[in-house]
Amino acid sequence: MNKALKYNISLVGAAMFCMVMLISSCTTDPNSPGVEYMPDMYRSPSYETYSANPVFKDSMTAQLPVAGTITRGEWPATASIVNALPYAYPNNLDGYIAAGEEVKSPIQKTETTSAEGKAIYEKMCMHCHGKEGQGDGQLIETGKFPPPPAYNGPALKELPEGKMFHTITYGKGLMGSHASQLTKEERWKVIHYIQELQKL
Amino acid sequence: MRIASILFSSLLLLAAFGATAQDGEKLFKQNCATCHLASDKALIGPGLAGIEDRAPSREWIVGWVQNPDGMIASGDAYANTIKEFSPTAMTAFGYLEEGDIHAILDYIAHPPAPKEVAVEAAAGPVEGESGSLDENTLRNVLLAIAGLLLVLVVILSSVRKSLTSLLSEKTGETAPEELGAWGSITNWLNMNRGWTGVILLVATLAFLRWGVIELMEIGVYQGYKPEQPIAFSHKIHAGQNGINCVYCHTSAEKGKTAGIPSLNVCMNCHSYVSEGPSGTVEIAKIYAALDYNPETKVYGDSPKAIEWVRVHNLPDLAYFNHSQHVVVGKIECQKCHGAVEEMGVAEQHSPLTMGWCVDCHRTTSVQVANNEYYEDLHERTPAWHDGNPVTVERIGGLECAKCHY
Repeated sequence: MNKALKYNISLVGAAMFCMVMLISSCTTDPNSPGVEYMPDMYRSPSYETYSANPVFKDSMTAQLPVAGTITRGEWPATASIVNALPYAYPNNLDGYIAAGEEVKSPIQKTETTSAEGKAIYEKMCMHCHGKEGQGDGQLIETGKFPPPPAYNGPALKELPEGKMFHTITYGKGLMGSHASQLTKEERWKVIHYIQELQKL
Repeated sequence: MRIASILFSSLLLLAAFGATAQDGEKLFKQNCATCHLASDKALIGPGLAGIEDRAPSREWIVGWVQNPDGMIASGDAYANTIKEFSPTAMTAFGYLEEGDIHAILDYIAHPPAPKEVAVEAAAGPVEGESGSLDENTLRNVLLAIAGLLLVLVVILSSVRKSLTSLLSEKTGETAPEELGAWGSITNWLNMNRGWTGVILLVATLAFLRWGVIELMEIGVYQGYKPEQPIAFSHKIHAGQNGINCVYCHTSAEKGKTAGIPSLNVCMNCHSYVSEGPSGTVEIAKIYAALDYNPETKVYGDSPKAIEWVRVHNLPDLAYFNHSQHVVVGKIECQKCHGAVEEMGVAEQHSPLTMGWCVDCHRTTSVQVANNEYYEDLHERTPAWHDGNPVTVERIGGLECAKCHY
């Protein structure tokens, strides 16, 4: 009699244990960050970089700089003042041709700059243009995107640096503008490395 | 006989034609596909289907492809009209020979039947939920076990009841007073005081331990995996496509926040790629937010912000800077964020508690070698070179005011 009761109780206990496990596993809702102590420390009343903002028309705190703004410290002190001015060539055919003839790198090409360019290239360009600039990056190999021409192929082998700068700044063909992702200095460093790839 | 010869010659013709069209396809993909589609849809340049009906002649096309700038400069009327199509100039393909261009035109006029197009789209991973799937099965198993045990309890107690009544019927004794479930439990607790004490002790300790664990989780977002307004998959973008983290999160190397890429970065690829594994729905949300018309490729003037749900959130009392850790500290993104390139839905991998920060600052050696940021410090403080690694803690990484000020 007593034994049966004991058995009974252990069964009830096991069932309760399972229920507790169940309830505790129920609370892991991926859409909930969980309990917060002093939520105003987490959800700042001041506007953060990416928070919504009723002050601006488009309701974003992250605003674009006014057109023509020169970023503080964008240019090394050694570069000439001309290069600190906004890029003056328009985004059209005439601008492209003119840039090819007139725009030259304001940074002396050295082994260091092309090595730095290589690091930038591997992060920003390689997934399409490929490790050696053959237009065979991982994204292209998936077949989702048409291949860009090879740097050492007939189309780009003789491409002047000014046209490269114009292309990175405004985009060309299927390539979009990378001006928001690369500073002018970084663009020139990447170009220094691409010039190495043109020689391959 | 005659029929056979006609058949044979047409086969020959077909074979010859097939060969040039195949070369044309290859040439088209290598040279033209970056800007033109072979259909009538515009990409960067106009769609090329029916080009021979529009252009003055094949010779004209050859001339244009080899030297568009020259054609425009020569004042050719048609060249100057099509120049207005896009601000992007057509590249001169001087290296394409006349035969090549004819092959491309043949390919455009008679493209081979499309094959295995829809297959890849369907094969793409849409789940991205394997973690929570496992959790669900575990929960279901537990639920089943609990249900089974309860059923067992009910069955056994009814069996016991009928057995006792049978026994009392046989022996003629009056059945002992029925206690009921609660009564029998209290009865047992009364009879076994020692065990009751042990059970109470264990239960109390377990409750306290559980309470402490729950309390420690307050304000910790680890595992937070909110649904986002666009079902963006890092697994596809960073994993399969091999796009580097900082391609989109550019400011991780330049500023305090890692940055949510603005939509122009999405459009670097998605001006062309308008269909993902789950169809066009998700990518169309980008177009809608930008007020962009994918048919005409024109941007409207009322763009809206996409309200992404923030995953990682440090309280305001702690300062954290990405560039400091990524550029100077040379720490891999994955060290704190986990294997994001395998995540279908972005998830907080680390607890981001102070203890977690401090642990890492105590154990991580500063990468002084080939790190110009530390060169000066390294030279000025030779006394530190006592053979022990220079941890972040040793250069002041545990000072309160480093993060709290």
